[in-house]
Amino acid sequence: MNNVKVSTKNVNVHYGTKQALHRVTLDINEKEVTALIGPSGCGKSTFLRCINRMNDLIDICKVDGSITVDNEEIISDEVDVVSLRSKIGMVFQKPNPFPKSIFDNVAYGPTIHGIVDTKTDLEEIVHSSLKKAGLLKEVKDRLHEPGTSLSGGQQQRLCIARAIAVNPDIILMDEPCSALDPIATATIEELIDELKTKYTIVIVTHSMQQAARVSQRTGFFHLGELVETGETQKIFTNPENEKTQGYITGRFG
Amino acid sequence: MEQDKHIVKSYDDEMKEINNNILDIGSLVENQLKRALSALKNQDTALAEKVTEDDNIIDEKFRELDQNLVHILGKRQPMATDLRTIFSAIKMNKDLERLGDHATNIAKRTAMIELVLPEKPVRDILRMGEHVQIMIGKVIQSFVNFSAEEAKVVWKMDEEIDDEYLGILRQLLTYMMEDPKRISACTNLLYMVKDLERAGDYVQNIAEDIYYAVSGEPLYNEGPDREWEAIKPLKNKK
Repeated sequence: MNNVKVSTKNVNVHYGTKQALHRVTLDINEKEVTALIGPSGCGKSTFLRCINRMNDLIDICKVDGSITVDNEEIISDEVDVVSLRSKIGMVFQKPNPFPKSIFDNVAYGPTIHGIVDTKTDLEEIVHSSLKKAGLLKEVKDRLHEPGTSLSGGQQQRLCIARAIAVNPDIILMDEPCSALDPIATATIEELIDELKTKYTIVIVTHSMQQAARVSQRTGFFHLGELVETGETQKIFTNPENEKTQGYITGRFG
Repeated sequence: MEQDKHIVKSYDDEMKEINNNILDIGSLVENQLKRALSALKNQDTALAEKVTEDDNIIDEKFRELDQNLVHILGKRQPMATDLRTIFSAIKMNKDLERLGDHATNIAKRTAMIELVLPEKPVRDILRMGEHVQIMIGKVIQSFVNFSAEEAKVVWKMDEEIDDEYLGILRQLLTYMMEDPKRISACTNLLYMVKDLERAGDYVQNIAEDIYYAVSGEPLYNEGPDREWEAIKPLKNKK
């Protein structure tokens, strides 16, 4: 088994007086895909956003408990959130390229994080990131066209290239395929398969089949609790918890 | 099979239809064996020929269920208990069809035999056949009740069938050695007893499928091959 990359213990999240997550304890292994599934509002996206401290952006949101990345506590005022986020890329449900060229979309991260010194280095990073995201072939002759001119699936791969460009360890994906057609979805899933050899990936998905296809481990959330977690193969053929069974067989939602 | 209902009602209807299909084929196969044994008992050629023809009905049901199973797999992409049930149903369907073939073989052979058969081995074969028939009934019942425990009980019963098989095998060999004129009749009986032995194995496979569908755990046959262990000594006799 791979090393634990992210470890959470008794994580609680409150939005004002409403508790959104209850004592979530979960280990996420390095260079594996962990899928988070569960009905809408179950807390899976909230949990995902704890890992890169995105919940900090919501005033009424309060996170407590312990989350470590590479054994270092990240729920602390002393943590440099910008540097943490440079280690953790994120891809969202709707492709959200910046209103800039394809090149600038990918170049943006390395530039603001000061990763590169020369123009040649920057070009190298942009090219290799687009290549890793499986997009280079399709866009190499139009790097200065707007990112928004690409198709939905290409835009999503552009966002993945943008995330990869800052050389993160972890990539968080929040329903990355829900706005894509089946072919674009298959391309992203193929990409996830390749990316997991270099990155730790956590993916929130509403598609059980997608979780079964892309992940090695799966966690099932319900009403803010992590009900069951385990090997994906086991969860989808023989889950232990009745709620998991009910959800994945379409008996309650 | 008592489980919560699916949100999509037609999924439940489809699963129910699969269940009913399995029960239909199960009872057809059980009846096929019952009638084949009755034909043997009474050396009733007409009945044996009718049983042989009726194998088509089982084959037709097999194809129908096979189609239903492919459709539900593609359409519903089942998970967990549904996935296991459908996966097991695919195997059970094939095993029931093969079980039907073995019952039909007994009828075919009965229809062909024009000889007087030795009474004792025929009696023993009929008894063994009844035991297989009981196993079929019980295994189908364990599917209806979706019970891993009941399936395991049936699974165990195959050991007795194997013992009966080896007993009759020895008996037939002795008959043939004593009087070579009996070889023709006894050879026919040998085939029949082998058909029943294989039928028992198929029931055992079905029990394994049900056990897996219910529990999610496999049920394997461990230990030495009992038939091989029993006949191996014969090989060394000069």
